[in-house]
Amino acid sequence: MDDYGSKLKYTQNENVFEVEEILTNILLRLPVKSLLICKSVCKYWWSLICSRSFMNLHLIQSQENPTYVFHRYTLRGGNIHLLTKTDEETTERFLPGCPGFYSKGMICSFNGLICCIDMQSHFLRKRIQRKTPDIHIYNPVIVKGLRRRTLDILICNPATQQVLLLPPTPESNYPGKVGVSFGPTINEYKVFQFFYTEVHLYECLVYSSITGSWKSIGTIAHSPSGSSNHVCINGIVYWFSISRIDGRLVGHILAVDREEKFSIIRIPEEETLDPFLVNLEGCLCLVSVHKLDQNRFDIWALQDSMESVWIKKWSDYIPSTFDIEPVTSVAVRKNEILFADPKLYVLYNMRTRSWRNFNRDRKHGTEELFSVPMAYTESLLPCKY
Amino acid sequence: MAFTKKVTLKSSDGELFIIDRAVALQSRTIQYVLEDTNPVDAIIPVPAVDARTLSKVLEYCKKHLIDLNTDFEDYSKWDKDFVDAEVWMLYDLIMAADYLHIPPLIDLICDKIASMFKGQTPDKIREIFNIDNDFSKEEEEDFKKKSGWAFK
Repeated sequence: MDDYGSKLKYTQNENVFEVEEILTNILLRLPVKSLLICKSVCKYWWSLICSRSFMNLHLIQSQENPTYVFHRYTLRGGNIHLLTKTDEETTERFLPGCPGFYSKGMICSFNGLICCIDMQSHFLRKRIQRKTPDIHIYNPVIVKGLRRRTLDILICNPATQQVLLLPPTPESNYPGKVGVSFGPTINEYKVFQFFYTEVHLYECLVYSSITGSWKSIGTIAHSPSGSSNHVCINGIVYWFSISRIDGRLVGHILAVDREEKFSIIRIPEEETLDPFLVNLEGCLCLVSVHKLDQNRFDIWALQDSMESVWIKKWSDYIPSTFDIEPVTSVAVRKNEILFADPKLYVLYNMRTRSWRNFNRDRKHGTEELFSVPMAYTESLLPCKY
Repeated sequence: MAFTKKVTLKSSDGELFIIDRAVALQSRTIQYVLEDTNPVDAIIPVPAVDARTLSKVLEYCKKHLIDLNTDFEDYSKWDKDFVDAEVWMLYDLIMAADYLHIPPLIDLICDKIASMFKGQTPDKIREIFNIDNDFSKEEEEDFKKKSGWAFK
């Protein structure tokens, strides 16, 4: 009430744009590309757009309208061309200094940042550099990346075109799975990487965006399984993992929390050994596709992680008209599920139970191979703090 | 005939506007004044808004009250024409909308101004909105180097 009362005592402002509240309100409606231009209008705009609070508000706004991000596998060399797509529009942007050649690609998309991993060797880097000498103009990656048998882990912001190569982890014959957790504040993320040390023993290293360095958090008897994705929900990272128990392969979920403590969650007994993990409305869910049962898919929601209680939430069939190959990944955007094989993406709307084909890019041939798609929201967040 | 309550607003330059109470209630600032003090036949001063701007704001409030039942398409066309105004008018309108606290009008004008930024160069934005460039030549060169791709 006092707020409005004091408003009646009004002082005339000379310029609308000097009122922070109004300028913020206007700028929040712009995409990142326009904001990068607005930043250089004057010093006041610069400091406002670069402020932590503005970035945070912009991210919250952007999360209302998530898109998908994916890239095509190319043998031409050059940079990764990331495609982001909303319902109508496909935007193509390349990441300076992220060679697309032989790239293992994206493993995670969070708060406008994308984590890519790359096994590229010194030799290949040199070759790409020779063929396209100008691709590393902004790029610290190639200069620093002269090493072998270690995974290059990159954190990129495709909207601002920033790329950060994380400091190298120790060389290993078996550099293993990587996963990213983020939060609780917007400038915090952690990257976990597993290393095989001996049978049933893996060491886990963690990189923190706050310290800017890696540290070991000890060894564990489980490691994420080879082809699995990971999800991060409320700061906890979940991977699918397979162990051999009494000669039988058993799937379960390996979780690591904010305090870097590991735990194991059992999965429903009838589930297959290759489910996908997704975040559905803040809840960890397992999606499994049963090829042999007319492409039926089931969604299980985790109710209690201590007791490994799951509830079957959803079940439906992928229509045979789509002629989808075995599904290689699943992405979720709000109440929409995207099933992907390397050639085809199909979208399922959970509200209407309807299906549609996702047209990736009309310009290009249908024979191209595409990466795993992920939900993406553009942001101004820097890769490094 | 139904009895409609009237409210009188007085602009900064002294002009009086007699309007339906329901129209005035779209402004949360006025709503607060009316609820809190409940003046009978009193004149509510609006010291921050001149007559020209206030009449435009009230035009918006009347339209959005009367036409609550028209379909969405008509509405957005009217809104579009409404904000198709000179920059100084948009300035005055947004300050008035902010002061009177009319969220849909604030949204409408912010959308309009944001759309005027899109696809422009910094120079052009400064020119349209009359903003001084307080960066040095060196600083400007530095932006071009760092995010020159965005300017293409």
